[in-house]
Amino acid sequence: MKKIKIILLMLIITSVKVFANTDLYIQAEKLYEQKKYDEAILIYESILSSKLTSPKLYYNLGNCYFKTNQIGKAIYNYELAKKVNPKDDDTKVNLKIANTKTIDKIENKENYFIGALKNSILNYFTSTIWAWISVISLISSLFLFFLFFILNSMVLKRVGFFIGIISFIVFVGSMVLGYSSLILKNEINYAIILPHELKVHIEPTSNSDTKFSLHEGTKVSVINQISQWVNIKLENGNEGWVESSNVGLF
Amino acid sequence: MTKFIYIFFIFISSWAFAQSPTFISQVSKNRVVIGEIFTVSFTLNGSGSNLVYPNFKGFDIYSGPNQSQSISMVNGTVSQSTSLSFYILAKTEGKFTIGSATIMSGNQKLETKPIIIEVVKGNAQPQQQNPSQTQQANGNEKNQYSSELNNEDVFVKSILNKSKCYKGEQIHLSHKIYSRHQIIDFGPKFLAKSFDGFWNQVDINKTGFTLNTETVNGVNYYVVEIYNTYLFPQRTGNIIIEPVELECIVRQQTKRQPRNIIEQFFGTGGYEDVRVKIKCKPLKVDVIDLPTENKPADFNGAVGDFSYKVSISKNEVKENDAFNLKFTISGTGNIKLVELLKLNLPESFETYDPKINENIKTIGGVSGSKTYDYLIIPREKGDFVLNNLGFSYFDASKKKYVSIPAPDISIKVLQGDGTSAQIISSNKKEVKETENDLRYIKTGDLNLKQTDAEFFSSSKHYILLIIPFLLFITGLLVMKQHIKANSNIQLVKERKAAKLAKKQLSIAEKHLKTNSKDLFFYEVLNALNNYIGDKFSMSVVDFSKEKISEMLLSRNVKEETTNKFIETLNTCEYAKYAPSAVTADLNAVYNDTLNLISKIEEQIKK
Repeated sequence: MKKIKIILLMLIITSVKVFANTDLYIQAEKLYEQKKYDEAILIYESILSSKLTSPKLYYNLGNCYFKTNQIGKAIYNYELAKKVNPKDDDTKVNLKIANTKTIDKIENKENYFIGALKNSILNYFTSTIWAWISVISLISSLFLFFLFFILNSMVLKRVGFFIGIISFIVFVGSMVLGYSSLILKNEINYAIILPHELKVHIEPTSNSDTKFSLHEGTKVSVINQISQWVNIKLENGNEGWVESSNVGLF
Repeated sequence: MTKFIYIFFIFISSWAFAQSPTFISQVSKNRVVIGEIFTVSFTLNGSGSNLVYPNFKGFDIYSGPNQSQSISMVNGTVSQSTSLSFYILAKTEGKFTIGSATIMSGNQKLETKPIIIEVVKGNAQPQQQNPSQTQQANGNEKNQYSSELNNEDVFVKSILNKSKCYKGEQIHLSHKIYSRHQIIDFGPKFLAKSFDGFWNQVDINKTGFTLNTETVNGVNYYVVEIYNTYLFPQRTGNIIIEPVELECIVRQQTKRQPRNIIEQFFGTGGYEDVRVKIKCKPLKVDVIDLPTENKPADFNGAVGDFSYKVSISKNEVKENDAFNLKFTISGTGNIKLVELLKLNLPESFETYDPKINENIKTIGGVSGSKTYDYLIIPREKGDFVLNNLGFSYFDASKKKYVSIPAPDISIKVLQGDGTSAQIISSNKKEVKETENDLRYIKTGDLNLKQTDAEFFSSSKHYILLIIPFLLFITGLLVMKQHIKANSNIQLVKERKAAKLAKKQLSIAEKHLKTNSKDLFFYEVLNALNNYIGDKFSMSVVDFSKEKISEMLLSRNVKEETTNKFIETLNTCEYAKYAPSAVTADLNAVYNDTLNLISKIEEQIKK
């Protein structure tokens, strides 16, 4: 009982911060309706800078950037939204539309089947939910084990033990999945080119040669990161380095 | 043979009617060529005998004599005639006389007039059998009496308008069939073959075949022009144009033996169709390479005479809007083989393979027009200039390169405003959604969360996991402790039972000294009961004597000791309820009890 009270308290504390921003989203909506996209961008970006995010926020921001023809940032925000909510239809559609406006037409292969399956399992619950599942399942399994020790009736002992084992398995599973989900969430696999034209270097220094250039909105894979540089790779095998500030990583 | 004729004539003469007989000689030709077969005949209308024919000096008899006979009815009068004919040929050039023949008709001796034959030299080998005269069932078979065809009679000639030309230059090749006799047919009608080293284009206009006449070396020929084609050499050096072979059917004037009754009656017609295979001589073409001096940089192999045009659909477009750039080449020459040089566009201009339209005819030469239509989409705004749009070709007749320049084209690309529709090209996938389908923003609460507030594997998470675990451990330990404690107390009590008992007995001793009987017995009883209770973990309710002795005995205590114990117990109880009745010595009791306890202790240990 005490535990639950602690949790509740913590939730309330965190949500206090959120309440302060409630009015902002209404403002931003109004601005978008009036086609004042740049001002709406300001509001959304301010929310982001106060360390608050949500997939809906990214999506809305993506829309605003798209309307102001900043395709690179639009695609980046759609991708961020999609990473958290891969099933959202609006995000998928708008991302597709935004991608038609990119200059570089590089075929982006969809995830392989197995990878996609694994990702969809992991993404079924957020890592937070996996955490809660792990806590609850641990408590119940320990409780049942305890009963096993105390009780004298053989039948009850057996039942208690069995359910206790199942519970423990759930606990272990949720810990593993939660951990993988966490890794996946924080992994940086891709980048979106942000400036209108970006020259790609062969080495992570500004005075090295540039082999080719990419245009805003193009999605590339990220191989590696060193200091302020990112090693990117294209579908067709071309590789190079760009400054981290010029791309959106996700 | 002569005799037979003699007799025959006699028979004939008996049938003769009154008619003045005539005897004439005839030849089919007065002027012949050496080796040419012609006929000589002697004809008598009436009956006669004793024919003597001349010796044909200077001639060879090919065949003869052959006789023929005819009966005719004219105006009621029946007349008959008989003729004797020979096929002869002249061997040498010159003027020869066929002498007169004589015959006896009735009593008259009739004589033919002599005939002078002029023999001239022919223009081909005489008596050369045409090797491939074919036999045909429908009557075109070679008749041994027909005059044979030779190479001078029917032949085919191939003609080029130029025997020396440039690589890629158009030259005209045609073929003519020459025949002294009327040309009835020929085949194949069109050339199917390709010419090695050339690209060729057949003249489609000359589909009819007109018969003309030409005089060659004083001889009249029938001529048909065939196989008109235009050739474009693709490599340099001497190229041999392989000769064409074809078959030709010509109509020959000839007298021949009637083959059947129809021909006998109506005559053989005097001509014969002969099938001949003819082949022309191979031709050589000397092809030289195009000159290297003054060759323009944008020259790409066009040879001929051309004009050139470049046009653009619009000069000002928005980003991602398409426009068309069209190049048109027209003229005569190897236009079909002409290729445009690669289009040089700015980097941000996207284009696809051009649409090529050809409109080429081969009439009196290969000519027409060819257009290249490019669809171009600029992806970035700015001002651009398209240059190097000219075209160069080589004029073979003037023997020099000609460059047709095209003015530079400037294009202004304006900023896309984000609402222009996407131009779809056939090479790209269809864009299903356009910008008008952009979904609206999400309204309502945005469900914001802290970015760095990750719960999983946070300290809070781990705390929440560790706490139950600790509780669990604690619980187990507590339980164990509990159990242990329980069992311990028992042991402790058991071990200390004797000590406690003795302690209590020492209290009893005090009472003994003060001679407090009641208290003494009270304490002793206590000691004994407690001892039993602790020792055997028995509760007071189980304290029946039987039970006690049972317990003692089961713990190896001797029966004697057990009985003594019970006895002492009884004594104490008596003392409790009826103190005055007890006469026992307190000391004795005290000592006994002590001993008992010691004994029991000993015996139990065993």
